[in-house]
Amino acid sequence: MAEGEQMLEGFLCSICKTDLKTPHQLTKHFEEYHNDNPEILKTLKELYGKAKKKILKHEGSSEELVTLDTSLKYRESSLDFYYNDWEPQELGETRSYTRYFTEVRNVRLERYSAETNKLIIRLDKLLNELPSDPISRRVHEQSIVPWIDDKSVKLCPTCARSFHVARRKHHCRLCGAVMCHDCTMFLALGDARNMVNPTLVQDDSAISPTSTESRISGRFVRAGIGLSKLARSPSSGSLNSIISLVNDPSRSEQHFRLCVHCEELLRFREQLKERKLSKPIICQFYEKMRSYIDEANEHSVMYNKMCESLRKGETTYNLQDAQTLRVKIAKLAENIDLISKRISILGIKDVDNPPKGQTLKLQQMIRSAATTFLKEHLLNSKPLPTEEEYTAFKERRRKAIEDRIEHERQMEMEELQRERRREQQNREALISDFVIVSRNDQMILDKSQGWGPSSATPILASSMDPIIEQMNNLRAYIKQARDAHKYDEVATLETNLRELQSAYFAMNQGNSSDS
Amino acid sequence: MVVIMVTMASRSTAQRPNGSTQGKICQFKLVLLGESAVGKSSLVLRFVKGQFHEYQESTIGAAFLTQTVCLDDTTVKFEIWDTAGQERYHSLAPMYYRGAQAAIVVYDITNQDTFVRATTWVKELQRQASPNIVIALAGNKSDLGNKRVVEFDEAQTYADENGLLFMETSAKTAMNVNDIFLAIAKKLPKNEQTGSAGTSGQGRRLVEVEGQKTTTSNCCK
Repeated sequence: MAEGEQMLEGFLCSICKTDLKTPHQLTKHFEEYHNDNPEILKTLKELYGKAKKKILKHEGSSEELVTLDTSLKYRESSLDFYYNDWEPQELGETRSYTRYFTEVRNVRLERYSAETNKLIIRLDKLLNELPSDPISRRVHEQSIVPWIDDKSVKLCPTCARSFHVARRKHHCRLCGAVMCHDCTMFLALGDARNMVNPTLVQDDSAISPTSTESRISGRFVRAGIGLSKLARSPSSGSLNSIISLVNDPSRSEQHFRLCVHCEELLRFREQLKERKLSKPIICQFYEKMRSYIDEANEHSVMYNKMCESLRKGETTYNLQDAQTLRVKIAKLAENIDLISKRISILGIKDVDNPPKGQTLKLQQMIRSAATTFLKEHLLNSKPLPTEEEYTAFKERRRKAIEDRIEHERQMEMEELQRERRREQQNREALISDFVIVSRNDQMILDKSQGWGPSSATPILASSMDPIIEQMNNLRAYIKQARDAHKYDEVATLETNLRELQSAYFAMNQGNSSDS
Repeated sequence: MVVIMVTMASRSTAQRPNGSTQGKICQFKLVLLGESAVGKSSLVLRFVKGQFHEYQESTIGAAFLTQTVCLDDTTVKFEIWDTAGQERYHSLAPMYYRGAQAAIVVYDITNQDTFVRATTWVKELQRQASPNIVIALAGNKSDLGNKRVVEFDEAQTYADENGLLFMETSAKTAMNVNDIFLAIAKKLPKNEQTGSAGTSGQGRRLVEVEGQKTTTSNCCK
């Protein structure tokens, strides 16, 4: 490694030092070109024979010539053993990729980063306390970036054309070099501030990725774009640029004149920045789609729950609510479908650079994943019962419940009778207990059947009652919960509202019976 | 009147038709009680939305909020009833603590009266709420330590004597807010969803509600 450059490696010819890549070629080369020395050829062949033996030999049979085939078989049969067979190997030639990397990187650093940083620092200095008065502004500019003496420049260094009255000399404000008007650009002060200011890195336009390219190039205004601009811009058109500056100070405030080289560096930096910040359009589409999918997932869980409950004839959830939710899910599904379709054909119309390879594959995969999701989760969802069906379900459930109640009551009776037989002494007490209990049951049944939610409205007159207040509260909550598709909450709140209503009713009845 | 209370208790604790028992989801009814302006709503707002308002409006009636907490393999959904502390709403409170599996009784550590009120709430709960209700005592406004009137030890001793969970909380700094809810969630029984339906039903097993919705203690859904 120490004399790295001197050291040659490979299958070298010992006479002419050429690298022959393979031993076979080396021997052939020797036979052809150095045939005059058969001794060497012989030793060479011997050398390879030995090396070959050494490589292919296995323990204790160095004399024996082992063919490649058997050695291969041997290797297959016992891999460990094969490895043990090797002598400890010396470290071969190493190559430092870091050094190679730094070499490549240094060039870039010098060419781009260091140079660009210098420009940014200068731009920052230029912008700092920039005088609005054109003359002092010029002094300010020159104090930061010394201008090249324009007498020493005969031709425009970029386009190599000579300067004359119509093609005047201009100084780049960032490197001080002299260029012709066509080889300079204008950088608006506002844009310059954005470039320098680290906090203003991301602006709204970064969100619409399509315009990125055009936006960056739009920051640099081609100096010779229009005659009017040319005539009015500070140090161009007119012979006496200072006078023109005085004449049009507002103009001079808006731009810095840069040479194309500086402009290129700055633009490159902006593009890098932009690339780091802006997400590719496909990401944005995908994120949007993901959010739809998440939302749909959440809703479909709720929907399935509601649907199942409704099909059982329960009244926990509202049929209309479920229908709204279904519509909502359908809309989400539509959106997902649309957006995934858009992803799949993203860039297809771009004739010059259509998506291909992994990009295309990714796009198609996203689309197929979305369709699979739609098929599995959203399109397969059970249909809701119609109004009539729902009524039937409810009826069936009510019957089942009645049967159950009947059954339980019978069980209770039997239990009671059994107990009655067992405990003759306590019989009376038990019966009276039971009578009370069953009477309670009956009363509740009547009351709740007679009073639905709507029947509470006429009592609203005494709105000072806390219960009334709370009922109004609950109604507002229910509306909110429903808007938020929180149907579990709707159910709880509705239950509570019913509780309040029955409590209120009972209270009123109690009062009226008292009086 | 008694009849109605019993009905409501079993109704509100009744098992919700959860469709299927996907994973393990527990729903718990939790009620907040305490003197007005001790920070009940702030506590809930902090727990549910992570927000804090310096000037929280006083609650009317009872506010309803839900929050889901994941605990090991179970998902605990709190249905929180944040009651108004003002005396005129006192009559509403039983409606919300009856059938509740958990209650947080809140007092303000800078106000002795609120602590006294909290102890009466605890007594009321022990008397009238479901017997296995989990009660937590929260000494709120712990960020105002320099104005403290109720000593930590005093409250802790009281809580220990009555078997309450106890923490000093601060809705403003979020201190111990999630912790107290989490402690409650841990203490609640997870195996049966309706912690207290059977007991609060006082021996009756069936209640018919509005002719359609029936709830039983050990449900058939």
